[in-house]
Amino acid sequence: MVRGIQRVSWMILLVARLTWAETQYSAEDVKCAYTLNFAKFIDWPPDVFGSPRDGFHICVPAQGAIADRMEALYSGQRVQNRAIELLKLSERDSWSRCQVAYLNGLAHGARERVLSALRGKPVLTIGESHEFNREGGVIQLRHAGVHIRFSVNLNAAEKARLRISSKLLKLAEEVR
Amino acid sequence: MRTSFGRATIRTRLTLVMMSVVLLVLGFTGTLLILVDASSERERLLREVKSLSEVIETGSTAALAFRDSRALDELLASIGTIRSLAAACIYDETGMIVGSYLRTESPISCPPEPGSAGLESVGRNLWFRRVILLERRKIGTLVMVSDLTETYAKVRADIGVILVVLGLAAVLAFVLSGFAQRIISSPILRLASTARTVTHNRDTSIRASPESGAEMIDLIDSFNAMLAKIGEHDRERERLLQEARDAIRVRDDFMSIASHELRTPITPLKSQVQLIQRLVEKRQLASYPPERLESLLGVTDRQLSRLSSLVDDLLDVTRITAGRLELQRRAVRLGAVVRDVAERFLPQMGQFGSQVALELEDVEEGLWDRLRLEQVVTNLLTNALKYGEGKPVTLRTSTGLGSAVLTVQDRGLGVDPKDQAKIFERFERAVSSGHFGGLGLGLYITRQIVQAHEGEIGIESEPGKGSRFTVRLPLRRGREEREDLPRAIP
Repeated sequence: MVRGIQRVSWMILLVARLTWAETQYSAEDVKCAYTLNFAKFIDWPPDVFGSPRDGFHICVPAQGAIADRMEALYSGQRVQNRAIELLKLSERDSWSRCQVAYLNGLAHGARERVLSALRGKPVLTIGESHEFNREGGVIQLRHAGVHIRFSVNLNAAEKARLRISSKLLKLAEEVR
Repeated sequence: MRTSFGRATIRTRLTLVMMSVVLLVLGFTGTLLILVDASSERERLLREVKSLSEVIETGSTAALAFRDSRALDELLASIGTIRSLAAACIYDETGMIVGSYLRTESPISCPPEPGSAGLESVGRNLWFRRVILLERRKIGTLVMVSDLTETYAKVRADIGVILVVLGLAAVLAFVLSGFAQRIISSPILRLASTARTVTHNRDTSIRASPESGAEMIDLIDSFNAMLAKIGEHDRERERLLQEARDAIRVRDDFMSIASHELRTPITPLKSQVQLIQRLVEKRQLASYPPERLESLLGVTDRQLSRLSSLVDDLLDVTRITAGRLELQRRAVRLGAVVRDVAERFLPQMGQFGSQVALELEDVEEGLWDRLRLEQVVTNLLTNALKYGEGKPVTLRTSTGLGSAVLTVQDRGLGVDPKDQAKIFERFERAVSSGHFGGLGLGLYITRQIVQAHEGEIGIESEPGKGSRFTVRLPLRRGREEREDLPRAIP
């Protein structure tokens, strides 16, 4: 009897989790959500924000498909107790005013240039390329079946004076 | 109406009272202890669950935010070592189960819906629900189920211990009530036995022996006092009975004397009347010698006087007994009364052979009933002549201590000291009626009259040397009430 109930409840759980991961959200949506959630588990140095009314700048390459999803999803949202301002930038723009820079969608060379421009600046860089961490990006996303995993370059984060919550680090696939 | 408790012996009642007191007190205390214990255990569990939930909330936010079920399961498994935790489930903000911990032996499973936050008791489980927030936004719900089975088992064990203690206490109370009964009821049983002995032997001189204990001392004292009172009443009843018997005997004696006395004058009266009747029948009355006829009528008159005097005495006694002796008070001089009575007796003096001497001092007048005073003097003088053996009799009046004093002294028989008090009683006399006629009422009536005048009468006497009767009548009252005289006499 007890085992029966347990089996049933495990099945419910399994179904629920599959649903949670697969059907409700597209991969782009999940990435948008992840980007927002990263910001919630990371502390920026206080001098980053000029006044309490300053927005929280999330920057994304203007030509990428995810920019529109972000625009849709982030509208009216807040993070770090600030209103999100989504900035769609090109390679030539200055990325240093961003708190989060989502660099997927930039060409390899452009991404390297932006990354090197942001080195030592308090900007959380997120990317999807295999070499992203190695190139100096802070968080690198990876598709693993239905899930999306991430790894953290702690060294780069420290240089950028970003303090990443241990809760987040615990979830990371890899911390280097 | 008596209940069965009211009919029970002291032992049974003591046992019941002691046992119920002990059981009530212990039962109450035990119940209170169990309730307090259970409540504090529940509180402890609740605190444990709350602090656990805080730990889980803190640890789960990131995993929840990044939809990491594995991380959530690991987190929950790490706190699953807490024994009282039966299950813990984490739901995302849409109400889907995203992490869970289920104790293997527990039948609890995660409900499909997280439900609203708060505490809820369901059966033997405590359900605790907590909303998980990230940056003030609800990102999920934590549901924790605590198992109260252990708490209940503890309460059951407590109840068992208390029941055992109650049983032991009941046995102890039973034994102790036995001792208490011996202390309390054995003195009562001894007292009851004494009471039975008193009733059975009809002996009120028996007394209950002392017992210890304030109430028992009081009871024994009251019981003995009651016995003493009963004994006293018995003796008093016996005395009254004897007095009544004596009174009946005296009255019977008196009846026989009275009938004899009343009959004495009747016989000669009858013979004289018959003689006169015969003379009338034979028409010899006219030729009958006048001196003999005169003597005949004189005797008849004396007999009638005697009868009348006897009847008067009886009437006086009746009046006195009924409290209807009324005095017609007038200003009277005692000397004058004595002189009048003595003069009236002159014709009879020869019959007794005594000389009567009068020594009359001038005494102030008093407010007295003259006829009753005459009766007093007559009675005393008659007695002095009757028992004076022909020796001189002295009547004396004087004043002393605000009273008029009358003494009547004879030198005759005298009265034995043991009879001196008796002679003033009703139907009593010191000598037998054989020697002297009369009803024996004279001195009784005399004393009643004197007392009605607020006076007193006494006797000094020595057998063979004569008697002296002294009457004292207060003068004061007469003076005081003289002004009220017209009103004083109805």
